[in-house]
Amino acid sequence: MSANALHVSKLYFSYTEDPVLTDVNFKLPERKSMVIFGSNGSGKSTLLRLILGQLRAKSGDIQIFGQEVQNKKNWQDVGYVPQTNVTKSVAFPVTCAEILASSRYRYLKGFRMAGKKEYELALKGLDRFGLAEYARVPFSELSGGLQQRVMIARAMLDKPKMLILDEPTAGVDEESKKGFLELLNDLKKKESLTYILVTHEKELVYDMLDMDYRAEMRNGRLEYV
Amino acid sequence: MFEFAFMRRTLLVGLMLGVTIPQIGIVVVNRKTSMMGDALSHTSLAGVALGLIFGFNPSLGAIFVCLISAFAIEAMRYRFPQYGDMATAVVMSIGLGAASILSDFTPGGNTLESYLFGSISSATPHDVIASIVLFVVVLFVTLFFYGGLLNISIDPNLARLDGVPVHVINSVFTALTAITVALSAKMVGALLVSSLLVIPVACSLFLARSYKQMYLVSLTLGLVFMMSGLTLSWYFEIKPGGAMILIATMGLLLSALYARRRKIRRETVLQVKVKAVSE
Repeated sequence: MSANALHVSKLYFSYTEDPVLTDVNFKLPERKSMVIFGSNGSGKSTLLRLILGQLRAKSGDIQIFGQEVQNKKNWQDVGYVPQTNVTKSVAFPVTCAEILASSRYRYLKGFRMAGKKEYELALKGLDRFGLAEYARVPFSELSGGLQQRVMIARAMLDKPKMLILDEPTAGVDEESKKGFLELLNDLKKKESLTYILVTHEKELVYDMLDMDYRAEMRNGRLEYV
Repeated sequence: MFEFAFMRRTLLVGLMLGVTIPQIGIVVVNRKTSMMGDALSHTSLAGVALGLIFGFNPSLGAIFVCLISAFAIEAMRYRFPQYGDMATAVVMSIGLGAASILSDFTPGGNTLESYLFGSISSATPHDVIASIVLFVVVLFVTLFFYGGLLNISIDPNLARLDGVPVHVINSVFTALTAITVALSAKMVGALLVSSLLVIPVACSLFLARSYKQMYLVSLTLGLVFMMSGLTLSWYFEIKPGGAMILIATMGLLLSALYARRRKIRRETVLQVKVKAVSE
């Protein structure tokens, strides 16, 4: 029996008095994939922020690879692809190669500036996802779909054991959405990682993405569907 | 103009601040807190007035008030993230209110007024030392946190997962923003310093195509705007802050035009390539 990549137990969270998450419990074994659906305000983004240690739970426990999230210092084993509205807000001039090289921060010493080695790795990372020609192109000039591919390439650069994707298809055109989900299916076949995808686009993901577990956030609780 | 000692001091301070201010500007623009410089420069007037009333160095008063204001803005932004720039508006209002009351008690002369629009003859030997120290500190800290600042600009949450000490870097740059604005207000003018914080960076958004270029372009233009503003101020006997902003605004317009032309040229080249492939 494989160990758990993610273990959430008796999780409770509220911003004010009204609870956002109530008694959320689930386990995700290593190398398995899970999609969490939920409408706006269902608490799925809050759950993700708790898993990523951005918020602190009122009660309950979250463990990633057996490690308490609140005590987790090194997140090298977790690749994270933020929401499209986050990537779209990167409006300043920064090339795709710089975006990828920046993920090597934890390995840099002294002045912590990415050097030749980091840029070579970044180019390989972009090439792996068919993005080599965009290495020197400003990130903000790419389409939403390409930006998400770059962010996947960034998340995968450090060879993570788990890939977390937050609403990766929101706000991009239909063609790009399908292309992105195909890319994710390919990645799943090639890389035996633990995958967690959070989305509100139930039908699209249901039809196109091959995931081991499907769950939905309803009234602050997680229910398998 | 080099024959006068005060002008040599002014140009030296200008040289230092011309490179220092855009480094802070890049951080506030990328953090989407551009108006913070405006709030701090206005509240610095309260510190200046305190210095003039109680007889201590007005720049020290400005630094003290700016530090308190900057951390108050950051604390409110952290506590109420959903209200955007409300914290900036609140702190600016309090600072201006305090400055307007305190201005009634400042000694006569045009000292407080000179802080509003800047003064070409205001740089003292102490200001020269302060600007050199600030230049060295800001340059070192910017280089030291160069990578971390890039990660935070992309996404603070992603930066935290990458191992970047987000809160440390934010706090260090909040303090440096406050000190830079307070020290620059005397020469550039409290009402105009935020423009010099933002406009060179705004030009670089049009001109640069990478994060590294953004730094180089912002610093170069900051220096050009500052030094040409001071030179114009000397020859045409106008306020230095106003001269700098006028030149910076022209720079911004030219940058926008250049970016527009470059975009059209790129699209034309692309269309030619597509046509060639289809034929």
